[in-house]
Formats: sequence, structure tokens, C-alpha cells
Amino acid sequence: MKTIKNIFFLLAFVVLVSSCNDGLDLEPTDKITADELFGDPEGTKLYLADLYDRLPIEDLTYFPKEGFNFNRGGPNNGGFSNSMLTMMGHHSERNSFVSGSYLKWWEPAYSLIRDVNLFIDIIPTLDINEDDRAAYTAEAAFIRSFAYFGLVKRYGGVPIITEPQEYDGDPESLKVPRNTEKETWDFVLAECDIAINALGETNGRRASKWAALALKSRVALHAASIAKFGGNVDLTGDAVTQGLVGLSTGDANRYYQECIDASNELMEYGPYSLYQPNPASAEAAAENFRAMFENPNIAGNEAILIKGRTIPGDNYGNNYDIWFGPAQKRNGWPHPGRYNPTLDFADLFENYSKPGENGTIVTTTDGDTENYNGFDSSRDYVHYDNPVDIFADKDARLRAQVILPNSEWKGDNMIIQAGYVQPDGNAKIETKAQIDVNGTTYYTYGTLSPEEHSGFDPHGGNMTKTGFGFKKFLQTTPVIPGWNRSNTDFAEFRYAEILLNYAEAVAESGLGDESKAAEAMNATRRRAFHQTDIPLTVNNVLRERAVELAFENKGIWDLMRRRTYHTTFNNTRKHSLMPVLDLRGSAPYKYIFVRNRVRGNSPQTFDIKHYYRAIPGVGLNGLVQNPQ
Amino acid sequence: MNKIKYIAILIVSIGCLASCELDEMDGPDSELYGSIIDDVTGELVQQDIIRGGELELREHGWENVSPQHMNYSVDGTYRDSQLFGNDYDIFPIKTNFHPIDTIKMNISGSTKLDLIVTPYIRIKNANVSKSGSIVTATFSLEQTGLSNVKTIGLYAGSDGNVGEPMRLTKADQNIDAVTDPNTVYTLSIDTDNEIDLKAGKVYFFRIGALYNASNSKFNYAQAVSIQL
Repeated sequence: MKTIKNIFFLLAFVVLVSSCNDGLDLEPTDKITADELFGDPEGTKLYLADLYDRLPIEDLTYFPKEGFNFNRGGPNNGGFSNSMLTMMGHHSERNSFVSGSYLKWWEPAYSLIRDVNLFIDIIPTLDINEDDRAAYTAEAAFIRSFAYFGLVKRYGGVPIITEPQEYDGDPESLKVPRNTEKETWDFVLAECDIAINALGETNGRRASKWAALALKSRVALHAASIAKFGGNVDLTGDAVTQGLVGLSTGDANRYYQECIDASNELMEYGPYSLYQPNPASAEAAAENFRAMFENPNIAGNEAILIKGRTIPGDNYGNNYDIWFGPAQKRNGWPHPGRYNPTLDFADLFENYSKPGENGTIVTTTDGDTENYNGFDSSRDYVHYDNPVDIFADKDARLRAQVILPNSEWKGDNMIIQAGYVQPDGNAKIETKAQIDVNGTTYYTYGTLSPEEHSGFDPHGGNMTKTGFGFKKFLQTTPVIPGWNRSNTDFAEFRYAEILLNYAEAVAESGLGDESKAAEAMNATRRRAFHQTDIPLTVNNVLRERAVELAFENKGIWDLMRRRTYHTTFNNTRKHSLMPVLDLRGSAPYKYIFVRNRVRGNSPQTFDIKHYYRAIPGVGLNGLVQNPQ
Repeated sequence: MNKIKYIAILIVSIGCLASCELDEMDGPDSELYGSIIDDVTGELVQQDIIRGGELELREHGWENVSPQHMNYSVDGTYRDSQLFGNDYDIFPIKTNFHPIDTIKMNISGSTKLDLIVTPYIRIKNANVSKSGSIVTATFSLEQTGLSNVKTIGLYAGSDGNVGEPMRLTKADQNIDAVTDPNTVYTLSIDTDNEIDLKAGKVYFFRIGALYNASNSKFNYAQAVSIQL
């Protein structure tokens, strides 16, 4: 019995000892370790590429509700984009406006910040030469600056976290209170300076010294505007009293000076210039300007930082071509024509014959452009043989960015017609109808079939109801009718923006060189074939900014930073320009235009609490909430 | 085998159903209601229903408590019946009356709180009338502070909630001055020129005035209904 017991113990012992092998200590095969990743220089670049991809760049895959890089699967959001929340554009089917669910960017921001902080920690341990080490450090500063800029312009002051937090079992240790808005802006600028001082002059599609200067120019102008105009709105609450939102007026000029200095360094010493600065004609100017957005790589002298979209498909491509192209060129795609640029936007573009003022489109001999009450048979309308003629005197950038009624696009004329005036003087506008006059049939929307026109027909929500179609960024090749098939690159920073940042900072502050600022503003006008320079005024700079940077997702932040959102949108409607065929009198019949309201657009009002987004999860993270 | 299946299903069902129990927390069982009352005239102080003044409540006993905000009815009354019984700090923000001190009080059951305030502006001798297609408002202003009156306006809307933030059209005028109580102001809207105002229908018109103070909101006269 005892022997058996001993043998049993022996066996048990053998089994126990022999089970101590490392056969189960496997490295996961579907993940790589930090050592493996950063041990390889290509691995480091890969990690960086991911950080760049997650930068808050508001390119063609950015949408106010869904956020950045919204291009996975079927991103079916109707193409409701940022600038539809401004006076620039309206959606063919929706009337949405700024709400608490728009323009948020919190969790992805801190996830990006954590990953860049991890990278900063690991840089000193990498087996690379010192130049590369300095460059990586600077690039990380650029990324962190960009990320905090994305946060501060949405939330005001936020917790500044500069190292990867470690969880030691106590959640309290992870809580970081908000910094003030001033501290946050100053941190963003300081990170820019680190990047500017250490980055090289060229860096492909990654941050160069010039991209960092461009970022600083934009950041400083944004902060300066908040400091100068923040007092125009009364916000209350703990966040205000603690300085977590808002800047003091006294800081405005310091920030304007930072903008002027950064812009000036880029203008004086940078290799950049405007693409095709002196066109031979308005037609050439329009084509140059259009082509630059179809492919910003042709304008390497103007594009300071490009976000590339090399491959079509999920997570890569964008959907501007399918959502926004005109109905006639939909090429089988069922939902085109969603973006409708407004009359209010078209009015901004100067007429060549009247430089320095809004080129408000006059459609009647009485000259009244404030009447949006529809067709009135007692008014005397100006007649045009071809609808596109009414825009002949307009800044070339209008036709470069917008499809005008009866203008050519991809080989065909785009038929955009709202209705007709019957021979008896009654108008049929925005209703499907046809009439025979002297043996010829006329249709309200220009043609019988919705396949052959692009305007005002409510068919499928596929047609513009403002009289204007979207053109900027669209490819001239046929639309590929599927999700995420367009791989248009996007210039996040253009030299033109830097010129206009400089001009605005000088015009607002009186600092800097006024003649140089006027020259900068007029340079972008000359590229649009303007022959007469105009004086530097805030109004002139803002108009120039609106037309030059249209649809580039900058306009909404201009309204935010200058605190003009609530004055621009105070029970405000958007307007359309309706081309109408006048069948009164005798053939050949001509077109008139009716300034009108956009169908389905009810008045919109911006609530001042939306100057700052609500911070999510304050119950848990203990942060002070923004004014609500 | 089938028997085992049934038993298994039975056990799972019992588990699921047994877990369907109410939590142990009480629901909100208290309410706060009251009026905003002019300390001199004893009248209700008219408000806006959106983008107007709010009553801020902070419940005691919590760290980092999120303030709750309550809107008023246009007539100057308010009620929130979804509150937890507790001690609260209560104070009005974005007011159209001179600021008052924070009120600390216990809310339990149905609790009434009237705010006795001094409105920034009293609209006196208000009259809104229609002549032909033109609706005209006449009134004078009695301001209770030393700052400027910023703006006066006549606002037209489709219901009694009409005000500066909620309107079909308006006629307004910037004042930016201290007003004289003897001045009679006149504002008018030509309804023929307003495509949102249709002949034959009833619309509401309300006179408003905005005082220049931090976060101030409009003071109003009562809305008047007029058939066009």
C-alpha cells in the first residue's frame, strides 16, 4: 500500500514538474508588439501615417454630424456637409441646422492625443540618428498642436494631457481638470513653435516647417478673433467665470501679431505662391481655379499640406461626386444633386465692372434685390437669351465652383429652370407643367424627362432648388455609381489662405504692414482675373475669404470665431435664383430671373450656446460643463 | 433528450423573468412651480419660451452636480414636475429683471416659489391696432436701471408664444440710449409686404424691449391677436 502511495506521489510530481514548459506562452500572431513596430523604421512611418490620418482635417470625408473619415461601408448621410450650416449652401432635401449633436470631436481626439503621447515617449528609445529623432519630435508636436486646435475651437479650454496616462486601479488618478481657454490656445501655439523650429523645409505629404507655420497662422487668427469678438455674446455659467471658455479682449493683438508673424515668415521665406497668379482671361482663371481642386497636386506651389486619397474604396475614397454632381450626369447613381449653393453665396462674388462690392444679382429694372416674394407680373424683369449670360460679369471663381444654369459640364449644358410665364401672364414656377405655344411644347423644368434636367424638379431630391449646382472638387471623369469611389486629394492648407489670414489680421488689428496686406488680398483677386485693386478693409477681406475658400469647410469656423453666427442666423432664410422662361410676347422667348426663397427652407436661428460644444460625460469625468 | 431541452428552457426563462425587477431607486416625485412677479405692479413678468430666461437649479449632495435649467412660459409662470425631493440652490439666469440672490430651499412634494423681481423695462400704455393692412404698436417705456435700452421691436407670430426669438416677421428699432418715460414709440408692420402673413388669418403681435445688461433678455407686453 505504501509503495503504491509513493509511486502515486512520484507520478504526480513528475506530471507537475513536466507541465512547466512554455508551450502556452505564445505571442499573439495577429498583433505586433511596440518593439517590433518601432524597431523597424518603416513601422515607425506606418504608426505616424495612422496619426496623420486621424488628424482633424475637415476634408471631403468630414461631416458635421458623423465627424472625420466618414467613408466606411455605405456612409448614407445624404451628403449633409459643414457648409450647409452656413449661408453658402442648402441641402436639396433637408433643412437641418446647428444642434448639440453637430461638430463634436471628443473621444477620437483624446484617443489620438494618447497615441501621439505614446509616440513622444518612445522617440528617445528609437534606434535612429539624431536628425531623425528631432524631426519625429517636431512632427509629434505638429500632430498634437493640430489635435488640440480641433478641440479648443469646439470646446474652449480642455484638459491638456502631455503624457500617456497609466491606469493604476484608481480612476480618480486619471481625471484631469480643464485648462483655461487661454492656456489651451497658448499650448497649441507653443506646440506649433516646436514644430516650426525643428521641421525641415520639405517632408512630402507630412508636416514641413511651412505646414506648421500655416497651422500657426490659422490658429492665431482664430484665437485673436475670439479675443476680439468674444464680448459680442453674453455667455454665463461656471465655465465662463473660471475662464474655461472665452479670451480677454486684451489678448487680441498678441494673437493677431502671432498670426501676422507666422504668415509673414511663410510669405517671405517659403517656396509657395498662388497657382496661375496672372491668367489671360476670366475663362482661363475659372478653369485654373476649378482644376486646382479636382487635383491639388497640379498646384504644388500653392498646396502647403495635402491629405491624399490614393485608393478608392472603404476607408479611402470620398462621396462628393455621387452626392453633389448634377442630376444629368449621375451616371446611374440614384441620389445626385444634394448640394445647392445659394443665391446669397452667388451675390457675394464681385462683378468685374464694380470691384470692391458685393455683386448682388439684379433681375428687375427697379433694382430691388430685397424682394423675395416670388414672380410679380407688374415688375419689369431683365431678359436674357441664355440664362448663363446674367453671370457674364461675375468673378470667375463663381463659375469655377458652381454649376450655373445652362452652363456646360462634362460635355452637356446643365438645364436648370424653375418654370415659365404663360402667354397670359400667369407664372408656373416650381410645379410640373407643360404648355403648347404656337405648336411648340414648353416644360416648367426645361424638359419633360427628369433625366434631362438638373434643377427645381422635386424628383428624388436630385435637383438643385437654388438655381445653382455644386462643382468645386468634382471630377471631370464620369461618376462611378458606388460608395467611396472618388479619390480626390484635399489641400488642407493653401497659400491663398495664408495671404488672407495675413490680410485679415492686419485689417482687424492695425498691426503689420498694411500695403503688404492689401497686396496679399488683391493677389487672390488677380488670380481670378480682377484688374483693379481694392483697398484693404475688413469687409473686403471677408468677402474675398468667402469666395476664395468656399466649400473648404472653413466658412463655418469664420462664423464661430468672429461671433457672427448668431447675427447671420437670426430667423434667417436662404435664397434661390430661379431662371424662368418668359412666354409672353413672341418668339424667340427669353429668360428672366426671380429672386426667391429656397423651397423647404424655414428660418434658422443660431443659439449662442452653440459657440461651444457640450462636453460629454461630465458626470464621470468631473469636468465643468460649457454654457448650456 | 426533449425533456432536458424543456428543463433548460424553463431554467433560462425563470432566470430571465426573475431578473425583471424594478430598481430600488425612487422616481422624481416632487415639483417646483411659481411665477415671476413685478415687485411694483404685481403683474406677471412676460418671458420667452425659447432662448429666453431660465431658472437654474443645483441639487445638493452631489459632487460636480450638473445644473438643471428650466424654461418659463411666456406669461411668466413656470413648473417642473420631474424633480427629486432635496435641497436645491435656485437662481434665475439670462433674466429680463435685475439679478436676485441665490435661493436655497427644500423642494418636496409640490413646492411653490414666486420670484419677486424688478423688471429691467416696463412697457406702458401698450396698444396694438390694425388700420388697413398696417399693424401699428404704440407704447412708452419705463426703465428701472441706468443703462441704455438697446432695441425695441414689434414681433408677429402665428401663436401666443411670439417674441423676438420666435416670429414670422418684425419691425424693430435700435435705441441705444436711456429712455424718457414720456416718449411714445411707434412701430408698424405693413402686412401686405410680408409673405408669411396671409390676409384673413389671425396672428399674434407682441411689443418687446431689450435692456443693456449682461445676458439680458427681452421684456414684453402681452401678445395681442389680430385678424388680418
